[in-house]
Amino acid sequence: MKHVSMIRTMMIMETADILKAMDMTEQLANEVGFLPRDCLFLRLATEEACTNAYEYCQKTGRLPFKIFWKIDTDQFTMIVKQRGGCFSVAQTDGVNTGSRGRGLQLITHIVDDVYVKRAGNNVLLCMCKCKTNE
Amino acid sequence: METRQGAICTLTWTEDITLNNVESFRQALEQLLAERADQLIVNMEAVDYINSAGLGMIADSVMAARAEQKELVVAGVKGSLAEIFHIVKFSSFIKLFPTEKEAINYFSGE
Repeated sequence: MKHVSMIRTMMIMETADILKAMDMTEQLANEVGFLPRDCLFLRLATEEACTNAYEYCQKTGRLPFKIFWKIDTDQFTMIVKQRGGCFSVAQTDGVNTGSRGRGLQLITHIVDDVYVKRAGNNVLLCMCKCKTNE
Repeated sequence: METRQGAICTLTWTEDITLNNVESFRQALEQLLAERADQLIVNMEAVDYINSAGLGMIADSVMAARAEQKELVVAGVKGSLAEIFHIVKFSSFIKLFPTEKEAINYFSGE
């Protein structure tokens, strides 16, 4: 039997688009059967990933960027694709009393797998949440 | 938005905190810190969601309060908000309470 996955995409040009992407994540996660708690946390992962990308792309003149949602039978994947160099998602587990640096910490706890990969001039932040964990 | 009980001043925030309103949250925290009271409560009982920018503002405010010999605690911490605070280890440097009453009791020494 052929494996079918659904893919959605959205271009992010301004902060209002990030809010739309958050809504889209929550809607899709709800449609595929995630619990309300997980839908809310996936919404948070979307906001954090898109805000990081937005701040970087705005500062370096690389807007817009894109977000993709890929829904497979057993996995919900969000991919933020931006132009620019690679970055690390490695996290220290120390206490942070400062004002910044919690976005990736949240993402790594919310999803089951997070990694960065290069694709030509683009860098992709991939965030995967397994449905089997429900 | 702010209520006073003796030396205690409370900010009650009733919306989820996203990039849409995080600046208003920052301003509300600044106003709370500017109060003459030295025992401060942020009541987040009606909040289910907070982004990292909002978390940073709470951390900043707690540290700023300490620098002025004040104490800022957070009340109404339960459900998904408690989970988010757990991820970022807030309990290791911020006093967190499930209800505002418990926060008031803490300041009252009860």
